[in-house]
Amino acid sequence: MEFRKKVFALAAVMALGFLLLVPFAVTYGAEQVYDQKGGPVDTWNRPLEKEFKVGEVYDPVHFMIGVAIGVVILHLLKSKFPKIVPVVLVRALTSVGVVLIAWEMIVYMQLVRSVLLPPPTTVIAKLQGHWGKDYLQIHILASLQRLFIAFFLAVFTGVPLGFIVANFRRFSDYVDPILNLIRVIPPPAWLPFAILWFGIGNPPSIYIIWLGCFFPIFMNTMRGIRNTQQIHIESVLNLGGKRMDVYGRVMLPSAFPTIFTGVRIGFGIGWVCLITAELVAVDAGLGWMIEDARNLLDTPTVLGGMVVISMLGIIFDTILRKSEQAIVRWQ
Amino acid sequence: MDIWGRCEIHPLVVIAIISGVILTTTLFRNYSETAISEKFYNSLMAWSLFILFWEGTIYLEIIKSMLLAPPSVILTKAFYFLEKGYLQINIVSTLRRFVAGFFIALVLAVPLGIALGLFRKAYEWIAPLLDFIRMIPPPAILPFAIILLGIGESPAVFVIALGCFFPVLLNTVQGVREAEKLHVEVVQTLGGDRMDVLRHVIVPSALPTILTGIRIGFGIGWLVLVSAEIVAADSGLGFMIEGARNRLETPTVFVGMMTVCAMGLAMDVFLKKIEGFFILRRGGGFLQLESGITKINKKNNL
Repeated sequence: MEFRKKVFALAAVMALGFLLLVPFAVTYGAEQVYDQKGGPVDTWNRPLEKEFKVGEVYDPVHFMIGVAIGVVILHLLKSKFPKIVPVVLVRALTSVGVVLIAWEMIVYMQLVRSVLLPPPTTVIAKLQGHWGKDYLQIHILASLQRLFIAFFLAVFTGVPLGFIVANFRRFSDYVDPILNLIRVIPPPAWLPFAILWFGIGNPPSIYIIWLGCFFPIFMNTMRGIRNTQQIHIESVLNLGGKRMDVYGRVMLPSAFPTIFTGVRIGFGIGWVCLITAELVAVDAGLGWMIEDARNLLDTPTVLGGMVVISMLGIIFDTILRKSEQAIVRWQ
Repeated sequence: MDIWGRCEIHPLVVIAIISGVILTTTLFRNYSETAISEKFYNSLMAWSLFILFWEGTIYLEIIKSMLLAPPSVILTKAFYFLEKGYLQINIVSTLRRFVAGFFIALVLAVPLGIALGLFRKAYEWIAPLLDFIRMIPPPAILPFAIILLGIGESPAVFVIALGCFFPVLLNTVQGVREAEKLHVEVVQTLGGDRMDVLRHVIVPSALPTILTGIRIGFGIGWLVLVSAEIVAADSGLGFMIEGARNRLETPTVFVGMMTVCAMGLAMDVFLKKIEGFFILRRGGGFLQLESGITKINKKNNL
């Protein structure tokens, strides 16, 4: 009973998320909204400042000293209150701080040209500027909307299809060979076709991300349900259970951890596919922002975009990992 | 229907051949049920029906041939490219790029992984940084790599290497850590030094995990390869696909996709074979340890 509640809760959360996304999906031609304000995103809102000079907004020396002081304070705090400050955090922040200082130092001593590798201070200033002009938010939202629509679509198609393929041998004999062929084609190779079929914009990138997410989820669902112990199924049948009992009470619970692992892996691959699709096939989103900045030789924005992407990736990965641990703990 | 203008294989021929295959196998199966296994029969049927449907819908102009090229045209194109050597050139340049990136990743990741697996303290300090870089999808580094290294081979190789690097590194670290303490202690008691422990215990026991990492890294590298070639290369299968897309040559796009698919499949099978070979040998892990012990005894004149 406990388990069923958990499954229903998860399904409810997912359905709610999906419902929330429906308005986005219906109005995916967000470009039209921007058109009314005067032109697509890139031309009316792209911040075209003159070249940033090193140390214009933040002084590099102050930055380096500040980071060093911060690291030292962190270590002092840790030695004073070893129970409150987690060791992992101290280690992470220290190593990141050391790299930041080294990076700033390299550019400050003019070992590298700042066009090729802008220092952290410039990147921070640039990101701050973008955030202030609502430029960063637009792209983050566009990326996330795309990612979540495709991800939920993949979950809603992958899990049922995996379930069917695992349970009905005849069906799987027909479907497996074709799916196995499609599985091996890397999703980015579909990009030209997706653009040809769906045009530029959200639909082709959603298709690519869906392809990336779908197969891990599908394969893991199939594997999990096929690995159900035969004894459990037979004992339920012996005790007078119906087919639905076998599906609901034996197969789903025993396959659940595997399915969730598939969801996590699928999300990771979808994240890679999102950026790839955005480099080529859309006109808003973090990948587009990076590529556009690359065309303008706006290296601080390129690096800043990479930092934002990495941060979002870490956040989502942590959430999925934690929820996986919480859900699978009963095992 | 100008798409079949220079096509050497008529669509009706494809339809006839496939229908013939379906009919004969079905008749044969009715004649003797044990001759063809059910699984083989079902998958053959799936393929035949799939191709028949594909060719038929385009022949009957239900789907525009511009959006989805029929198998007959794709085959003709593929043979034409093979004859002219266009496909071979692209395959070679893709393979060269991929192998370069893959081997750079292996050469860097395996020794680094063994070192980080052995020195836990160092790993704990470096892990957060690695996590930070690992979470950036390799295609996102592509624009930056282009700025740093310029258009051409180097950014693509760099990004492929980065894609392969982390799975191999993390699996190596894990494999080294999972080496049995008891085996290490056996070698140490028998007078083996650190190199002996590394050579006779840690590397053999970590090898299967490392190979799994290599296979995962291969998968990610292959995905990254195509996206890198679409964005930042002037040769290769990804470039061929993207160029054909710009010229609206749907059959060429399909030829490129099928080639990528076949190459990926072949390499995956090859890597799985290697992995299976080493995992089989792991079953005799104790024997390996024994041979290592005799070697150490010989060295110490025992």
